[in-house]
Amino acid sequence: MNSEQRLERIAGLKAAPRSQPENHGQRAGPALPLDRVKRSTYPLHHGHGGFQLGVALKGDMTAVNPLAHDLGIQDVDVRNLAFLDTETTGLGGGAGCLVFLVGLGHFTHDAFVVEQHLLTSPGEEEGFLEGIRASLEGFPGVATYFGKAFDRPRLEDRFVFHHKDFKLPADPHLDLHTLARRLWGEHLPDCKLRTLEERILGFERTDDLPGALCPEAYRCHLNGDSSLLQGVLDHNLDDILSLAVLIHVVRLEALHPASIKARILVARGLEALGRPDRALALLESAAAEERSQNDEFGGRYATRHRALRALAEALKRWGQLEKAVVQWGAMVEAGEGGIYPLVELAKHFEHHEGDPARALTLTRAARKICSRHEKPTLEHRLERLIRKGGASKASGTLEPGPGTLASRLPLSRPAGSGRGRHDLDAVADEA
Amino acid sequence: MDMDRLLTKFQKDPVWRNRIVHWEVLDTARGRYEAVPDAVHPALREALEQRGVNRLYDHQREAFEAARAGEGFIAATPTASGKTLCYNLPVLSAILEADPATAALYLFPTKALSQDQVAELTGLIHCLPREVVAYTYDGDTPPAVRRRIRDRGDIVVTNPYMLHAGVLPNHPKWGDFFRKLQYVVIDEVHVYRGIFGGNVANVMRRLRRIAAHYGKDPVFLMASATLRNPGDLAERLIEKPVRVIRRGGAPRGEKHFLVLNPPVVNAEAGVRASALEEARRLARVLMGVKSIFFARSRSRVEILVKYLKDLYARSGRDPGRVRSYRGGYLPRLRRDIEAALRRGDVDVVVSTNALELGVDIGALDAAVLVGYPGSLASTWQQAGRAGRRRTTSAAFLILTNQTLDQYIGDHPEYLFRTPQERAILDADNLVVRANHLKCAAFELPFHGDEAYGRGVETRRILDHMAVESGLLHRTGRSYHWATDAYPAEDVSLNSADIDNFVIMEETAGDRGVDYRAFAEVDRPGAMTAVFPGALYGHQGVQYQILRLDYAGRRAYARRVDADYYTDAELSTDIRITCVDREGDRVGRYSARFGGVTTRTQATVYKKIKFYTGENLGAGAIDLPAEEMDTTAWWIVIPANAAARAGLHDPGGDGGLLAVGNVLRGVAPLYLGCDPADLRCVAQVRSPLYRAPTLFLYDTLPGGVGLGEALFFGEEEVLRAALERVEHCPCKAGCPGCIGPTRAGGVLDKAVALRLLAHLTGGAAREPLSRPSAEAIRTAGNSPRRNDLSPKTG
Repeated sequence: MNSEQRLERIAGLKAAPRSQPENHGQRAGPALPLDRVKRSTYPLHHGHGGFQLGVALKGDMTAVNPLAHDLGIQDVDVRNLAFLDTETTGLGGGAGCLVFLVGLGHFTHDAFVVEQHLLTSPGEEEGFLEGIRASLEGFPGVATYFGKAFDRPRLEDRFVFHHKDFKLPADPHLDLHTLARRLWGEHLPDCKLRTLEERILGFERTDDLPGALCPEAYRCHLNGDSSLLQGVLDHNLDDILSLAVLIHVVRLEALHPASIKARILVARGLEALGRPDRALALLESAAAEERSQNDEFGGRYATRHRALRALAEALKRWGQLEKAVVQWGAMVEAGEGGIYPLVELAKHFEHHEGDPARALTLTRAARKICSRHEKPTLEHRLERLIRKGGASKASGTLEPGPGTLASRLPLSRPAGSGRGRHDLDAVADEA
Repeated sequence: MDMDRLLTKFQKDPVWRNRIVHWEVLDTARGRYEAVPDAVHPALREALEQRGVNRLYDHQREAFEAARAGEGFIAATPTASGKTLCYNLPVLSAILEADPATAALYLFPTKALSQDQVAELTGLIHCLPREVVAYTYDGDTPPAVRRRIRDRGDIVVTNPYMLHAGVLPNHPKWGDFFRKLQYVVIDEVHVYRGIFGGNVANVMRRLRRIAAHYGKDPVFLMASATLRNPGDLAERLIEKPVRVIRRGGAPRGEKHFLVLNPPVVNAEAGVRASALEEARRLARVLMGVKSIFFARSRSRVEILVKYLKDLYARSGRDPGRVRSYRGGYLPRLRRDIEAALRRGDVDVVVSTNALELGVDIGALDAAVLVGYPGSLASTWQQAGRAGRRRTTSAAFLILTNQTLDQYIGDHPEYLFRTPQERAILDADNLVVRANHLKCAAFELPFHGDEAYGRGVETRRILDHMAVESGLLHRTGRSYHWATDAYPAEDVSLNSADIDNFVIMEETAGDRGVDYRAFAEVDRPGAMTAVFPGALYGHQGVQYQILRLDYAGRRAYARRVDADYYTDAELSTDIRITCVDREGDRVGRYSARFGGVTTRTQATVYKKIKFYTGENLGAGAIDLPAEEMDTTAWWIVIPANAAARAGLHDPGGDGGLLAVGNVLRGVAPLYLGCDPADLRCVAQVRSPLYRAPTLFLYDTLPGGVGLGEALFFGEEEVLRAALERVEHCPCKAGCPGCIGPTRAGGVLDKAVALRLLAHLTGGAAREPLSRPSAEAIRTAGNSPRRNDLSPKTG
């Protein structure tokens, strides 16, 4: 055993075996001219999937406001955005993980321009980073896909590494992944950019280099074989173009969201922006739509509860109490929403109708069906109601008095309904 | 009752007088005080005054001034001498001055100690006018808090594992922190010895390298338990000169150390009364005295705590004043017990060596060591738990029936006249160093002539990593990390950071069965502690293990009322996976090194009745074996030579293990490791070689090449082993030579001596009457080859 072998054996220096692309190791591969910065320009009518790139410039981006309100994003100007995507030498992160490719796209008045900065050798990282900084000059904001968690920290860490002060533009940082998940998360198997391209943008990649192989391609480049690097550049370019189109589709969807969850979310945004009418209309559509759908999937129940509840809550918030009471009553009837509608009705009878007896009856009904976690608050409420003297009258009956709101509460079991059985039994027991 | 009166009782009462084999009175010390230096920030001085600190011990002042002058130190002063203030004072003062902006990194070996430290710091910080952000940063820190700590932490308290795998590889995220890093505090330095110490020393190399990248050369402020060679260990750990602060200025009341040997109950067999039973007897006398009992294992702690709780209950006292404390308790319970101890709500705590570390439990009057802890360092750390500033305190060592303990019974001066074991670490073990070089290259590229550690030239290893393993990319004289691997993930600092089993209590609740996690046990311990059927003691309460979800790392238990405990037996076998090299030593024996797999398995358990020790039956354990791949060195001794040495004589078969034990004791001096880094398997007749075979293997999973180093230096190690046994005055083995063997008879030592004589090619000499400490020194000073230089100072 020679000393090298000994060193290798004793020190365990061998890297873990990895799957390598076939042409790895051809040091004399085709000598591709590799530019530090590669610039590609596309006319606005360039097609990407089912869309033209220019569409992003045309629409009114305020439509995104309700969807992204809580993220502090409003009135995005697409012209102010740099569309950014990075490739790194490892997905695990850490100081030894380099950003080796940064693609930056932006709109001019008649074109979409992509600049791709390539780190040709690790020793030249400082110049590479300065190039990126210069390219970003003049852009107050960026659009990324998952950039808040990935691209931004990775890139900023590299600047820190070289003792450079740098923050990615953030006015705004529009992370399209967050918005896409809100709009389509319910209906897509996952929210990878690749999935969105196929299902939403109608864009299919041909011989795309999978993102997971990008680190390996760069390793081959460092070993003298740059043939795979073109694949990485193409992959990155496609990502950027997809971002430019995606921003348009997000805007369209935010105007008329299809998913119930998205409607609830957009409605919240609309409420926050002071447009309750549009919010309530959207929530009503959500609640109604769900009723007309058949409940084939378990997941729908949760969504349905959420829609019904969101509507009731919004009605209450905006002072439409009578409508809210009807909504709660309907929920109790349908046996939906757990204890929520019962508790809300109890509150209503206690505070607005001055009828603690009825409130007590409803609270008891709620306690019968509540979970372990909900019990303490209900017990507390019960105690208070009993102290208020609800108990003496509650022993009577739930027979609705004429003219009270309770008369509009449907408390008999609707024919053919199986779902509300427990709740109704509970109410009946109390009565 | 006060200790002085109690000790008179020991002197007078014949029951106790007959048990005492040695009574040592340790020096008292008067406090040496100095004023709080003017350089301490006024706000901090005020905060100290608010907390009743108006003056400092002289060692605290010395530490403050050293730190301020940019000089690193190690404070190796006795327990409870205010070591914490030695580093907190300069650190907080510098943070308050804020010129330059200052941050400090604190390292503790465990999460529990980190939390302790933060609790203590917080107390002081609350008295300060400006907010100082001190936080623990470890695996339990929520991600939301992490960012705040990184960006705004003044003091970050963490552990070497987190620094190694979390902080250093992500240093850009810590850029702001590193730019302010003036001080690195390392407490409990005595823990960083052997291979673990070598690993941590390499983490320090990487830390200094990263700090330098951000323009900092931090000052290291260290503290440790009293050690024989604190300065030497500290300098090996951080590779910078440090000032040694040994003379504590804290006052110490009178302290007594009593060695007790239980009476002989069976004269024919020479069996003495059980040490646990004696501990109970002693507890009766100590009742009401704040005391700590140390037992050698988890299960002995639980047995003893049950005995003492019973004793308290029978004497009409609150059994709640007796608590146990050991590894495996969940953090909240530990915090609870610690607080109860500090408040004085507990009289007696029964512990394993978990409390050897600096967990703050307040002052105690008595420490009772049930059985010799196995090393002098541990003995003194445990005994040091008792100690008051002004009044008298006492430590008791109760000897067991084992040979080692009985040797101390015969030679109690061994405890007081022998220097403590030397703490060694080797940062340049090739495997350890190369592993960390990988991590270092990931963290920062290597340029030009930058060297990392000593030994094989750094550039040679880097070239190897670039060319052969493709981990690095070389351009000119620069090496950049080139793969998507995260090397720190694959480098373990020691074998302690593997996953635990959680123990769940099953109770009938109103909605079916309720589960509650109440304890945990590490994976190696699980085999003997939580097999189905096992009784698991927890705070003196018995639980029976119902089933074990091995893959899910969960054990389910139910509270039971049982009058017995279970005791499981482990067996380890070893399988050779590859032989890297073998050599025939001129017919005396053959030696090899290579890869081995050890399989450790729990086989059977016994049910043993409390108090009587009666065996109530046995059962089989059906659990998968724990396997570990590592490296080993082994020798095969021709059967006829072994027979001549008496190995096959009746009662002589312990001789081979005895040789293994001596080698384990001697080899660390040559290998720069700790005895705990090596384990030994003795096969009197190996199934493979059909001859006596002795294995020494690395206990760190994967191995660090100790076997190979032994192969090339074995002649010297064997000679040193022979010398040690020859020179040892003991008759039948002692901690200084052949250590514990199964039989523990006179024959073991005689056979071991003849075997060693055969292995080294000479004839056995009669034992000389020289103290074993001498032998240790002799072994360290004999001439040797270059590649295996002694690691003693």
